Amino acid sequence: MPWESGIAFRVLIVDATNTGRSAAGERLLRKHLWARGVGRDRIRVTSAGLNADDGATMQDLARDVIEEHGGSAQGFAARSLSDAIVEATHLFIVGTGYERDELVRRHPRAQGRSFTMSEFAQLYDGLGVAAPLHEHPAMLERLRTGRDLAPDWELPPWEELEERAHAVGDRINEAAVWIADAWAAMAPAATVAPERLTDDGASCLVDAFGVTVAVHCEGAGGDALSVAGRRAWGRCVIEDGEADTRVDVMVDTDADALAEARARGVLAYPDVERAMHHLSPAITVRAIEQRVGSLVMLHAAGLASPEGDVVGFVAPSGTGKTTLARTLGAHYAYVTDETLAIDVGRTVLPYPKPLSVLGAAGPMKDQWGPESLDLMPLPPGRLRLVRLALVERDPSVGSEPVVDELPLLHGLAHLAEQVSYLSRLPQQLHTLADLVESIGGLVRIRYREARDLLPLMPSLLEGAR
Amino acid sequence: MSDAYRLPDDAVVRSSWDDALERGGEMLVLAGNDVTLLSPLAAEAVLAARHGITVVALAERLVCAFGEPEDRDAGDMAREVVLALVPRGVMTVESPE
Repeated sequence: MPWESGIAFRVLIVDATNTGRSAAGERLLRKHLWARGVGRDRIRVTSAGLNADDGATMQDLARDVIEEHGGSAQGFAARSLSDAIVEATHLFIVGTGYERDELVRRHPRAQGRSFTMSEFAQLYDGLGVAAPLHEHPAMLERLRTGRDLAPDWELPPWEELEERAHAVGDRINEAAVWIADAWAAMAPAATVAPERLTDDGASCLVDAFGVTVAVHCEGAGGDALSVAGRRAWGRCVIEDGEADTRVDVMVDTDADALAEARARGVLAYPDVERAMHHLSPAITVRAIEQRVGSLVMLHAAGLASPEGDVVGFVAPSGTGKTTLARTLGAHYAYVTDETLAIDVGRTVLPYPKPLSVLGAAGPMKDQWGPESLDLMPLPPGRLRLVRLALVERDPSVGSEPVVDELPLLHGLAHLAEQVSYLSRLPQQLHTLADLVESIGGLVRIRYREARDLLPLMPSLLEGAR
Repeated sequence: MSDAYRLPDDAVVRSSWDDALERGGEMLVLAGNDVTLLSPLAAEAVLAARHGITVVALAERLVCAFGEPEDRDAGDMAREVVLALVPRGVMTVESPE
């Protein structure tokens, strides 16, 4: 299924009979998404069973679990899994490892998009993603490779059925809350009424690779968020302009106020740190959606010379782009650490967003503005892409990075995985090939530490002259 | 793989893609969201299946292009290619006619 911006991200929860875990998962995830203002038009959650009897009713224990966590079990009817359902699904969340393997065996198209509930939580844990949801399955699959993940939760034994069911329910509910929080910021955008784009109440306007995003802060902590946001996003903030899209975010300690705001589709958090953490992917994804089909948008860090020549370092999320940008950005102009947007004629549209830096306490990363990290500012004038490198951090490499020229198709195969909405680009692979050939091909660089890349920069910048 | 799930010789396989590049016998194909780099053998299979082909005919086509495989049956080789490409959305299997 081609990626489409503006249409629902389709999630299917699968187990054997569609009367237990998958039913509870469907109803609880829907509940928590709905409570965050994310309706089925943006993320569509359904369920099915590998061996389900169509129309079967939900197990009583599943019903109890759903209602215990405030969900609704009404109107549920089991359904069996078909090829058509599989083809229409973007992401599969499966009850157990055995069921995941069986799903993929019966429906090969589910391969690479199927994760158990346990795997799902482990893969997302600590992953800083700022990409449309449609790209998440491929990101998670890449992360799964080479990792020894527990496919199933540790649960009370089957002999203690009721206790086991409630333990499963608790885990599903915890996961659903967490998923809903993360996904709400990156879900396909709701349609914004034109009058909501022209009002002048925005706390600030952010320029993300040419897209003007109006950020509206509200709640008791709205002013504090606005101040923190302006500081961290300082290099992207513009004073005037017409908004292309908007993000609404609230900070308040009052639980009722947060719930009311979430129901309106506002990203709502109890403190500024959490709001800042989720604001960054929200702005990035909104901006990406505005430029689908018109820009090549890569998961890449970008650094520029004083002349405006840009080297892009392409790598999957969570593999060191921010550290690389932070390290090289002390010597070369910081263009972005996440989304490198390239227009016709290799013009790079900058996105000097805050960098996520692991804080001293807690798992939440702090958002540091490039100014606070003393990164080099952008040079005046046009930025032009001169080199793209696929980078891979490898502790086994010596202090001198290993650089390999890649054959075109091999390079493109890797690069394509890091392109947002490739299927919506005009000429698709041909556009990408033209871009790569215009900068002299792709190189792969394996490196140990980000600082080891610094001596390579002159040759990378020189290479395309 | 058990026989119950073995792809029959008369099963028809069909390839489709949205965009493709060819260089030196290899192909890079975009099918839906998935980009897949195909070896010369897989590329030949994909081109042969553009308008639908049975597994047995595909095996013959591959033998014709690359010779008899040394370590396995040609039909099994064709099945392996098909089964690797189905999850990538490049090939679909139709019911035997």
